Amino acid sequence: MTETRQPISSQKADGARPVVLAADDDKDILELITFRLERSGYTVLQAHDGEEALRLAQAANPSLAVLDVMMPKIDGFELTRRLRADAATSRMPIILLTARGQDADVQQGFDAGADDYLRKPFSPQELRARVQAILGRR
Amino acid sequence: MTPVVVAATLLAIANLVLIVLVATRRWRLARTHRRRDELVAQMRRRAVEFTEGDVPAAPPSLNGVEAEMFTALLVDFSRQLRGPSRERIVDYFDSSGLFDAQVRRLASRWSSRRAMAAFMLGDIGSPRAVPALVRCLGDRSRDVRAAACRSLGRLGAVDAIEAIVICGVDGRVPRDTANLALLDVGPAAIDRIVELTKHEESSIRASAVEMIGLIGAASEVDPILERLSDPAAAVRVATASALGRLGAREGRDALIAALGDRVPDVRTAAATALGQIGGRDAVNVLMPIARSDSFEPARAAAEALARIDPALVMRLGADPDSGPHLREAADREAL
Repeated sequence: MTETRQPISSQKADGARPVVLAADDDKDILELITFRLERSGYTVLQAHDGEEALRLAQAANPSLAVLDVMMPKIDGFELTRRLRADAATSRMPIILLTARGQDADVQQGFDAGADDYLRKPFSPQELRARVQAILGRR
Repeated sequence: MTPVVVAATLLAIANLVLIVLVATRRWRLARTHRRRDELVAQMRRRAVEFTEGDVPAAPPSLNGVEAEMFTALLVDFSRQLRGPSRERIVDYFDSSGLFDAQVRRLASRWSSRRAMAAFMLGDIGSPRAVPALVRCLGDRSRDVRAAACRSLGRLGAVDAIEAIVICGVDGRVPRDTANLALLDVGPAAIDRIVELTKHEESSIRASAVEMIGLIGAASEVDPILERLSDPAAAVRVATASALGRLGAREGRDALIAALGDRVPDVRTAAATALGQIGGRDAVNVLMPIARSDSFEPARAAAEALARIDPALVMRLGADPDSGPHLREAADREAL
């Protein structure tokens, strides 16, 4: 596979802020995630379904994606698989938001290629910490 | 002017008026929706800022529809969040009187209101609601009991574990509702559930063991192992199934012994569990059972053998004297 992904340092919008893609069909939660991550110094691209998320990921090549599992059009697992299969997004870290008590979802998420997961109900502070930890390692 | 022309003119005017009325109505509806969407977006922003702002801000002063939307958004956030964000929402409901209003509604004469309040209290997330919700498990309405049970799970009410288990066993709430509530409480419930495995009522012991199989971990094997010799067959069945779900290798010897139980259901559950746990020690014990005339245990033993050693089952199935269950298991493997 040809490596076409740009180095992280070149993926920053607004000059310095790393770009995070957040995808959730729940507008309220999407707004909350966006608020929390923007407050923490990230530029957030919002997607309301899997298809929009895929389009944005391919167009903007964000530094990281936070994807809800249950989304219309393309669910979080399939989206993760497609992002991993695309050379441009194959190395993008992905955090999945899964429903509570769904251990099988967690396993399926890792199998699809996710780097981390958060189970709902989730703590926005923990989400921010995980985003920072993953991006800090890279 | 002829009557025909007059009638046609009146009809045209009526049509025109109708078109104008419909268009006006549609325009008004669109405007109402647009205004509502704008208000929702505005309230969403306020609710997010209130929940996630760097310092806890005083809640905005709102009236009527705005206050309702703001509350609904916070309830939704409380359901999906945990940690400091949720604590901030709980504090808001406690201090604003909304929590007390819902508790008062639990005494309403209308069961739908009581059920709605029981449901909301779970979403609001204040642990202060637990005693009132436990009382609701005895409500005369099944909807109220089910809503209270679900909310106790949402609240992670460890103190209500026994009440939830008993409700599911005696049928006051659907068994699945009780089990889901216990799953919601999660590993924190385990210690209390382990205690219930020694309850005097066999149905409660069976339910407790079943739940350990669903939410427990390998460390919970020892406390339930002795339940394989429980006087009640239902408890022995639940224990064998739980050991299988937990993949408890420590339980293998006891399960092999349970293959000799006088109750076929226990033998069936033990055979299935041995298949789930795996390991060749069980093969020699499972083979005669798979060839036996006891239908369910024989089928379970053949399936367990197929999980442990598919190649062996295919060889055994080729023998015409191997019995129907081994042949069926071999056929399935061949597929």
